[in-house]
Amino acid sequence: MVLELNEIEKAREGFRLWPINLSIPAGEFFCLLGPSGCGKTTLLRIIGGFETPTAGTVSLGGRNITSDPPHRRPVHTVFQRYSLFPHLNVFENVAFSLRIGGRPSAEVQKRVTDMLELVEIPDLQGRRIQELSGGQAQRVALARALVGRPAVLLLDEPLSALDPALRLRMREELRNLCRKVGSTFVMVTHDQEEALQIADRLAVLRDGRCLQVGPPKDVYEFPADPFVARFIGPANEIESEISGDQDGHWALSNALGNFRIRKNGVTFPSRVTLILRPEKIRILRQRSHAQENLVEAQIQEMSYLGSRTEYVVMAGGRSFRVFEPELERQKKRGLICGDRVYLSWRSEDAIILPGETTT
Amino acid sequence: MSTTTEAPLLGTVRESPAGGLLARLPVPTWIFLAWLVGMTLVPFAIILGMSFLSKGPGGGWAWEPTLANYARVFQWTYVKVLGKTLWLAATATVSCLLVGFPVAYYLARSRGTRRHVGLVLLFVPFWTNFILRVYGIVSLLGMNGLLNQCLLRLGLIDTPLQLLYTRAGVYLGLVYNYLPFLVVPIFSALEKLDPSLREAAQDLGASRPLTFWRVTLPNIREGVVVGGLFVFIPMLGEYVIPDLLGGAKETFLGNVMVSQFFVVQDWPFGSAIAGLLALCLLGTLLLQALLRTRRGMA
Repeated sequence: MVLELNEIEKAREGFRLWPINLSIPAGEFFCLLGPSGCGKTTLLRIIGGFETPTAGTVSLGGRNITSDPPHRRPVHTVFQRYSLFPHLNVFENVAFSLRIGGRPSAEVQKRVTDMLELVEIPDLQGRRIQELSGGQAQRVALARALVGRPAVLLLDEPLSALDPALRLRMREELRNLCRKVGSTFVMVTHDQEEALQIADRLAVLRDGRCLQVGPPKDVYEFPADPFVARFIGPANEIESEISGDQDGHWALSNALGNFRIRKNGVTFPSRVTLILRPEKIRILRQRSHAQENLVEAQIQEMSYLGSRTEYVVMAGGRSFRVFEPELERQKKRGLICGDRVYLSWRSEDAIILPGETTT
Repeated sequence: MSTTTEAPLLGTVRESPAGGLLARLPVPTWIFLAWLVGMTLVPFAIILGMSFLSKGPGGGWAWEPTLANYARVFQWTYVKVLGKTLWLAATATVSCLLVGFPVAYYLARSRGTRRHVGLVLLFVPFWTNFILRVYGIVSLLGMNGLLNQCLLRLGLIDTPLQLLYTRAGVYLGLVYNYLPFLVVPIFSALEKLDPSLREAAQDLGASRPLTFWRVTLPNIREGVVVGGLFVFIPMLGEYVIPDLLGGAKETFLGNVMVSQFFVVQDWPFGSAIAGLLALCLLGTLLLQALLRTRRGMA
């Protein structure tokens, strides 16, 4: 069943959700990504039925469910702090929706057991809620929400309360779970790495507006605006100007010098922001004429992180972050702070966005 | 007091374990224990002891041990009174719950000024003396009372209703006077309840009534039980309200006890009744503790 949000608006004191349109196909893992206060949780609560939109409709499989109360929607939620029922044990927590639905007890027994098996806690059945670890509580919350086979499963920052190692493992498990059960998963998160790793598609929100929707790779490589570029991953931003037309390319000038870029949506003449991802910049030990977009720089700081080395370099009077993969670094001469180097990037890796950088 | 608490800090190793533990208690605990012993346990021990003595020639007691008082307590007349008293306290507690639960629920759900005003209103009656409050109800319910006057003026009745000196009047007085003791524990239990649990229940398909029944109520059960006991226990010994609002037409255990002490001057028998009441309370509390541990084990 397709979940569709049509022109959803919400106005509340000190907060506004601007018209939002989303269409999420059945079985997709969709992430609502944004900083706190961007409206992602409000949007999730609108889908769950806990808040009513000021305008617009929510429909599921073509049926308008905007005014349905939460208990009439085939939508279940994994709450941020799990909200497990303290007066019931693990089995009864998971069985809750089936008991409410009046399922026969043999079926309840089977489905709860199967579900606990699926989330890998079959032996916790009789455990009291107060005796669960964070990771176990999380699994119980997942099982409780999934056992009723909801069309849509909502997850409100489900991993934020877990320790880092467990969080990484749960990311993979969540994605696998989504494939296995076939429900549509809609997850709210402020962790861009999490969204990139898990989501089939994601929406980036800021100040109640939906800035961009798309698969993680598209959003990362072709961000729609500087905020998205900055939020979805590390970015070097350089205010630039399109200064002319140069045999089919735009001529771009900024503090680093003059460059040629492929023509895209931006117009001439205009001020733009050039965005370079740290991992898309190569760090060269000597000048090389074979490289395009060459800029001289000096190393300010460096930190070795095992899989890569992160440099902070100065070029054109400002600092840049550059990541060098370990495999690349090993082949070359070691660098120390103060070394003169050259930066280079491929024209197609440069992101050009209209407008000036605002921070 | 400070010497008793500071001494063990100096580290006297040879102290006996029990003495060490007692001496290690902090000052507030000592105050509480002193109060408990001096004001509750000692008087109760006196009453209990007196219940095994005989009535003195001119009232009071005589040093002749006997079990006659208890034999008398278990006579049919007094057993009937006990039954009636238990029934009155139980039904009045239920009435209190019926009125108090919605009040507690409303207060717990409201925020800001509304909640503050509500809580203050709940306790405003307690700024007046208990006896005055009961007399207030007397003037409200009387033949020429405010209630009858209003009903007559509105033409709803032709002749004044007999409200005062009936069971209904007693119930009204009991519920009115004990209501806050029931509302507060339920209110605080509701307040401590995580509101997201209700959302979770609705999210999983439970309608509002079902959510209340399956999630809210089981989680505040302790508060309801405590609130119920807070009103049930003092109601068992209540004698002023049945006297003033019930017109002393019916005798409850409290009335018997008071008349034994102050009218008949049979202190030992009055003490035996008090002992019986204490037994009832002990039974109630044990029952509650038993249910609690059984739930905990389940």
